[in-house]
Amino acid sequence: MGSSMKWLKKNIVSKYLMTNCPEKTRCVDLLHRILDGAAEKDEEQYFMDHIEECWGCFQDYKLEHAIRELVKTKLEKKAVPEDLVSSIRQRIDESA
Amino acid sequence: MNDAKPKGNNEKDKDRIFDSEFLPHIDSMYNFGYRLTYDEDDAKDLVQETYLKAYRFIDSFQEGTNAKAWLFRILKNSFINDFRKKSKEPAKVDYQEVESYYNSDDIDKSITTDLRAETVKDMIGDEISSALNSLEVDFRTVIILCDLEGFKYDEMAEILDIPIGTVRSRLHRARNLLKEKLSEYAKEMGYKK
Repeated sequence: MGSSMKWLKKNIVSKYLMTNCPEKTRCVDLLHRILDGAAEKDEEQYFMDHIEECWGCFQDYKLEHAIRELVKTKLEKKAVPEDLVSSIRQRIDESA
Repeated sequence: MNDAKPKGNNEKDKDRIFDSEFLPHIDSMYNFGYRLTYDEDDAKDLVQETYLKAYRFIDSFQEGTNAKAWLFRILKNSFINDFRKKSKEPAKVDYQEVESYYNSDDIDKSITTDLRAETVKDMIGDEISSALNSLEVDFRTVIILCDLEGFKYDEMAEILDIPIGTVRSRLHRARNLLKEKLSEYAKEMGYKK
């Protein structure tokens, strides 16, 4: 019941309640700081309460979160060449 | 293993710090080097240079402080001071010019795209790679440091030698440019809203 109400609110009700956030600039700043781990607890709480009501900011938050996840999880990682560490050690020893 | 002279206590201490504090970051360092240069050999050279410098200046490193940020700072400086000069890549655009362009009001207006979280979730590695590669290196760098390596704003400020406010505005612009690029790909690939 709780979660379906939440869904209804986010997907149906809020859509018609608020699409243009009057505090857009502040919210954009806040959502980035939250996702970058630089916001205070109470700021985070404020924003999480806010996106319950604000459809636009909720969508922005989801998008920014998804882009960070894309960078973190899908960017190809290069394997370190096998001889890199040994060649660094060798050059250190040579210069000692 | 090699013909090096036996090491004294001081040398052993240096090696211990090197092994326990510096080497564990080699994976991140190599990937950072690669994303700056897009060349495996150049990345290798950069990382090698960085570690040699770190060893040479190991006395100025305080154990238990942020070795990763220190190494990233050295690598970034090597890239700017040594590598860019030697590299065959075309002369870099004057950064001040780029920054003032991106600081202009029309760019600062919030970027509105059709891009949706659901679309982004369906994207693949190639798309995010190309989008990131298309960004000018200073913008690419802040995204890598923040999102991939998890550095905090103050750490990024130290690594890049810029004030925290500039870190944040550069990040903001980098994110907008990345979003625009991803949005273009979404349209080209026919992702629908």
